[in-house]
Amino acid sequence: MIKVSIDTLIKSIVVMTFVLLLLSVYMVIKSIQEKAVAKKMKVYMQSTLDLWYRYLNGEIALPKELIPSNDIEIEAIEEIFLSYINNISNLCIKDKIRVFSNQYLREHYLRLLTSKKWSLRMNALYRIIDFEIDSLATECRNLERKTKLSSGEHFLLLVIHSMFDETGFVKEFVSLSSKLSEYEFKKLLIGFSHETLEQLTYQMNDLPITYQYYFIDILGVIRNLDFLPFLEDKLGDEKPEIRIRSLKAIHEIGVATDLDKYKIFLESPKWEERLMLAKLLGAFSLEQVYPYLEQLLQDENWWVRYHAAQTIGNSKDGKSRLETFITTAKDQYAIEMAREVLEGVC
Amino acid sequence: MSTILHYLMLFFGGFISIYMIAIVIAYTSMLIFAFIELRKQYKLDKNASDEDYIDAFYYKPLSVIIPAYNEEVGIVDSVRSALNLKYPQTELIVVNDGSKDNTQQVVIEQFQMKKIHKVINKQIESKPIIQVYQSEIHHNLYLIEKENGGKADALNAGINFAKYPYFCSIDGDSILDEKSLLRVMKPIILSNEEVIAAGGNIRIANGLDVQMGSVYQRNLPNRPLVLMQIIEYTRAFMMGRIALAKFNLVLIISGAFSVFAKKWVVEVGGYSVKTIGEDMELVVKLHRYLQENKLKKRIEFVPDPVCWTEAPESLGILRKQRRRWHQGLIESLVKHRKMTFNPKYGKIGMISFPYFWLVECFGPLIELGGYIYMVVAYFSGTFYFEFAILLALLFILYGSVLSAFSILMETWSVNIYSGINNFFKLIIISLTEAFWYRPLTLVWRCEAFIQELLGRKSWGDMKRVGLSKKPEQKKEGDKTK
Amino acid sequence: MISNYTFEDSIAKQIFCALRAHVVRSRTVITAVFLGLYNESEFDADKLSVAAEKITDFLKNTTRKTDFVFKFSGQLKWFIILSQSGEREAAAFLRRLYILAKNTDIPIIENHDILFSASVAEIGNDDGEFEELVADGVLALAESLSKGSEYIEYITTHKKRPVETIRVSILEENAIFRNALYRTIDNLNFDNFETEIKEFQDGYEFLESNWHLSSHTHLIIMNDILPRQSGLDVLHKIRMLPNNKRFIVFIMTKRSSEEDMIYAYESGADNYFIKPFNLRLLEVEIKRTFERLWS
Repeated sequence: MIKVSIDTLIKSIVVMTFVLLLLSVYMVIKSIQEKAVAKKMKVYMQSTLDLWYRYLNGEIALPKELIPSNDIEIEAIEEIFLSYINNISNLCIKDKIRVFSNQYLREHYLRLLTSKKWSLRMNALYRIIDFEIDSLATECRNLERKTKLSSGEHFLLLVIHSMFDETGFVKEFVSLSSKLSEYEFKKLLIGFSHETLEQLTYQMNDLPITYQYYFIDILGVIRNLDFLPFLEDKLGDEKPEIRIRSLKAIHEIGVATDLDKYKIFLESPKWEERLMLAKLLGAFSLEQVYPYLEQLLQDENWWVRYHAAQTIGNSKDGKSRLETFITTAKDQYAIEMAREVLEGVC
Repeated sequence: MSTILHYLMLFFGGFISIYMIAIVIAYTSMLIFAFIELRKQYKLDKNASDEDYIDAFYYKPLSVIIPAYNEEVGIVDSVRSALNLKYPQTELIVVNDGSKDNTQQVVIEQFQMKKIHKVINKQIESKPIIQVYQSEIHHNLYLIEKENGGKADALNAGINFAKYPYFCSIDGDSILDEKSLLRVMKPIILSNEEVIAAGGNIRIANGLDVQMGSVYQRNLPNRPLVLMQIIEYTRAFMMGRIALAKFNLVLIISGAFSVFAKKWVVEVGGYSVKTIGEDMELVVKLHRYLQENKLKKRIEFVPDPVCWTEAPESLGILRKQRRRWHQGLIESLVKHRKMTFNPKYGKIGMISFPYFWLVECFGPLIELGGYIYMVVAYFSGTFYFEFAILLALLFILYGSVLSAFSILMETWSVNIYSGINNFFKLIIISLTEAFWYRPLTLVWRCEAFIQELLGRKSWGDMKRVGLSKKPEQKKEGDKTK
Repeated sequence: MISNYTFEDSIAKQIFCALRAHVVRSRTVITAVFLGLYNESEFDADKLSVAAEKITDFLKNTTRKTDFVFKFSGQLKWFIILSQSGEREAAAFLRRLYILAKNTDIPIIENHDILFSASVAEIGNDDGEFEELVADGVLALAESLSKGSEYIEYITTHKKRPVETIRVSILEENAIFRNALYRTIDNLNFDNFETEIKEFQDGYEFLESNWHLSSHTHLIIMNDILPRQSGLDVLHKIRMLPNNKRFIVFIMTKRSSEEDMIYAYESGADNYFIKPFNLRLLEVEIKRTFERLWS
């Protein structure tokens, strides 16, 4: 028995060593190739970078040299385009990149899109989004209907769909069955036009509950005053999470009008609501809201006390208010907080 | 008498051989699994999605905590690398845990730290904080001066001070790749915060050209001992981490670089001050908490993000380090032993714990036994001779050949050290693993058992040489001329 | 044709030269105004000297403390130096003067209208002879007087500002974008400035180059995060230098957090660009900044 296993072991070690040797040879060849490619890329960059600048900035018409003739050049062009897109927002440059990609890179990405390798398909999808290659929209739609898709691909295809056909996408979106994470949801919606978002406010209740949360968050990020009435309306929602997120979004917008709408949260059993209130009261004049803040300064929750003190401290005349508070109040925790914020403000 | 000995020898020989064969099969399958995973991602442009993530709107703000005890040599590089992270919103908290050297002065001077007053919400018990400083150059850089209480205590103080919902701990001698934080946070963001902790890949920094916290050239060090550690880390990554992470069985995410959701860490009482391996202990505690409270949360290991850390260059220090690590492992496993084979703890209890007990904890004892057996068998007659040969071959296969394959796979997939010379250097050294490095580490790890039994605790201080090349002094020289 | 006009106050030339020497260094133009009485013929010959004295007093009272009024010897002409003013401010001053002079409530000289005309020369450099200027001024004044009362003639020959070299440093890690920035700035045309542009990969390379130690006005366009030494490090270092006002700092960033932005301004940044940004915007900001250097 032992003899047999020794035999097989020796054999397998010999085989593996041989394989190792073969693979090492492969690695050597691969490394030489990679070096050559890197060198070619460098040469290409050096010789065309100025031309690309002039072309993309509309100084010259597309020179023949810039039309890619092999994969190395395409790779270099990708790098150039990405650097431009990530750093520069000129619409005319984006437009040039879009037109160029649609004309000269379409075939390349179509090939990648139909590749068997997941990683190559993913790369293609990212580039279609980056370079706005709308001539591949139909191909992407077809791919979306395929059953075997990784979640990564699925999401990127959704992004592509929403980019090239916003209205059509929104129609399907409300009844979308797939589960999006917070990041994915926000990523999709942040690019939407004002009208589309407004339309969604009417349909919000049709969305799954988690999507409603994210949607409210997005309204806060956009900071558009037009959505303030909608958000204020949501303060009366029965779900606490909706109320908290609406408070947060309003705080984000930085404008609040009707103090009466917020006063109720003073007695809220949820500390998160009281916390958001403590922050939000900064949108009013201290004169108007100081009694409420003083109450929150004596809250049982550390964070509520902290933000109440911060809000007072950051207001005009807030410092003197805190000073008087320290000398007159009885709540030791509140006094401590007031003192620490006061020293921090100095 | 001799027959009893004979059967004993036979039994041990058989047992050790079967164990080794099982291990080799397990590791080979994990290696194949890793290959399939890496092949899937081969040529995937990982930078493609980074740009989106940089937007603060999607990302959760994060506090970076750098505990430092006598780190005057490496601390500035660590802080600089953390300052250069591509991440939308961070704060940096250096916790000086009562260092006896110039750690504090170095940081204060380099970054123009000024005393400030700051409100601290003490959620976890920690030794008193003496003073808080803030940088005049980088407004998000803080320094906490506190009484000495050990690394865990320093981390707890940092957690108390941190104002963001996530924190990342890195050692005071490590430097981060600029995108590592972005990528280690990715699973947390993409999973809707279902992932509550994520650890990154650790690599060895010795030999790198580090300038002011940025890695410029990736060279290999010359010492075989350090090269061997590089191979060891690669091996652990290829045969273990990738597969374990895929099935959510990670029990260790290294303390040298990991991200945690503060809320849950506070919930389990922060880092344990009294244990040696505070990082593993925290992860086990989190797992336990999640399972006991039936929470649908996960802990993940992210194969890609890189943290560079300095490896010991001498046998003595390496020995101390390994002993300490193993002691930490034993302690955590013993402390949470009731999770073993306990279906209440799901996969962690049924797979991870038994695996860590058998392979990680007692494995070294069995393996070392194998080495001893091999020597004894070789000299005690022809009958056991074949056992000796069998074991020797298994050790070579397990130690050397598999290591070489790990190196091969890494060069193929990420190619950290460019240049074909580096590749051959690593391959050749890796083939020697079974003959010297493996037995050495086995001995050290077994020493941990003795230490644990004697109840001794060594903290394994490490002498740092620092990663950064010192800026040339030529300017000063010129002036004095 | 250098003429030999003299002034009652012989210090005129000295004061003018001192002010003029300051023009380039402080990038503040001064303006020379030559003022003549249009209706000189209406005055009796014997009253002329009294009138001249009264007008001189009037002019001295109407100008600012930093301005100077000199009367030409033997002529009803005045030479006024308006420091810290260009020709536009000078024109506004003159219009105010013309109205005040006609004010009948507080007449300068009883029963007489005072009607002026003037020529104006903005001085934008410090190379040129005083006598030449005066000759030009008097000539233009004659022209102005011949056209009518309350007239202003402009002399443009002394306006030309010297071409100043401004250093521009680009600190950006991405070589492709760095190239685009370089080309953009290099393409800009300025009347009075020329640029010397240098590119750097990071803050350390920049600070080590000592390129920032010259006395040139220096525009630094940099990323906030850079390897080795970041943009904030550089900002802090240069703001600690003596004479740091010569640095104009534009920060580019990927982080859009308001807190970071506020902090950057507080640390001495002059402008803040959130990537991706429009290159045209950068162009106009640079132009505007350079134009504002002269007041």
